Amino acid sequence: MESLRSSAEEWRAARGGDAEARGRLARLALDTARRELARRRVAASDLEDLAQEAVMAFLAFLDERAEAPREIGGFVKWRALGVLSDQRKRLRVRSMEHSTEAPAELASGAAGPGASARAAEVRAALEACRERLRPESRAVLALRYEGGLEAEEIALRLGVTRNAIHVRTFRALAALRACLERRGIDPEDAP
Amino acid sequence: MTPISETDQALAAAFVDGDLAEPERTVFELRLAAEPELAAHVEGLFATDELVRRHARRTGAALPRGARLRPFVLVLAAAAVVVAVLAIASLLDDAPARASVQVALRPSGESAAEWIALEPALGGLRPPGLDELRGPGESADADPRAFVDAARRLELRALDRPAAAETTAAFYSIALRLEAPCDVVIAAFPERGPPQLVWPAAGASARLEAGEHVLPSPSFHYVDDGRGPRVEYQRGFLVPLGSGRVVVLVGTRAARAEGLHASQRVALESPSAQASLLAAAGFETRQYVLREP
Repeated sequence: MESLRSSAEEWRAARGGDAEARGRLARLALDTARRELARRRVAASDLEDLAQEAVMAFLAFLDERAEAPREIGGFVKWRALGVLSDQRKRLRVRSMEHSTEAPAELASGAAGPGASARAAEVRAALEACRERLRPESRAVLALRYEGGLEAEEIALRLGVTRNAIHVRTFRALAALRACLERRGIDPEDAP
Repeated sequence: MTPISETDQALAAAFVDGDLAEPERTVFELRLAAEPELAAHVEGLFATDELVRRHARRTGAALPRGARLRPFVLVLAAAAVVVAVLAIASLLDDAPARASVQVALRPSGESAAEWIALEPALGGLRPPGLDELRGPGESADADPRAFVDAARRLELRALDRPAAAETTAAFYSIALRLEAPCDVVIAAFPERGPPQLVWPAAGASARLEAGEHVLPSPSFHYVDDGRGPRVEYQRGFLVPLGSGRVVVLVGTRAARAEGLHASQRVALESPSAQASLLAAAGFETRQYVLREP
């Protein structure tokens, strides 16, 4: 019977040169990354590449660090989301420089009349909630989403630091989320 | 959910934007794996950001290639912003800019005859060049320069009238009276159809000198190019066919040395989003409602 080892023990074994332990951790990372990226609605055509990239980043971290993260699964999840953030930024920048179309992964993907009606409901709620935000929050969101600008460009435009734009973005989106939730819309599963 | 510190708010947004560099990024990922409260905030941020992006009508993508600022341009622009801010600060609360701008929307027409039908004072005048105003065998009977001057005075009279709640027109002009040079942006938001930035034209300056102006141009021009003095008609901005109701947003601010940023040269999804963007750039905005005939 195969002995059950904790992820931390697998980590130590892999660090000690156990190739099988390293392989098991890689599979764990791959499954976690695939699951998390699918939950984030990543297009099927991109999902495997991003998951592999997340696993490589995870294994690079394994090679560098003797001590296992407290939650290996949780760490892999966030590593995958970090990889996804990078990819989306690359797409945004490429889209602004070389194309007149929005990145495909950012396009609305609602299908069928029921989905369209729900999407229209969400869109209306979003507009109403954005109207209720403070003017400076609305301005940051308009520059970010409709203007297609990155935080650094918004900061330059408004004459503040990039850090300040990140704080304003966080607060604006947190307020928006709270408003949507009061209207019965959970951003996690809204179309 | 427990609030998080301002530092963590900035880190969270930077993480979602792909703006965190190593080693801060790995440190933050380790914290997210170990701190459920922080992770919940970032999960919410991710989901809300994705939702807004899915529903946003991004207009920045329509910028001309190369319109995005390169690093050295960013430095120059930053310097220009500083200079502009100092210049504006020297004008205290820049009261002249707010007090000195008058704006009016005026219906225009597809032809000179349609335009003149709105101004009885010009009825019956037949200047050279406007052949449509003359019947068979009729000759020109009005001095072209005097006609153009009279039409211009009438066109600017809209500035002294109260604004209509709604105007029905297939074409329209915007009249402005400026006591100081201003940057002017005009965007149109049809009920049906894409929003349009109608002023300034692509690549053109948004700056207007002090004085009275009619955009896109005065409706009548005096021309004397060797074929004899005459009047030519220029129609206003078009209300697109099938657009229904159109909200026209006019933004004005005291002219700035740096002109318009690329982000201000796009039409956003709604008048309110556009007004917010312009307000952040120091513009005062006015809205007018047009109804397609």
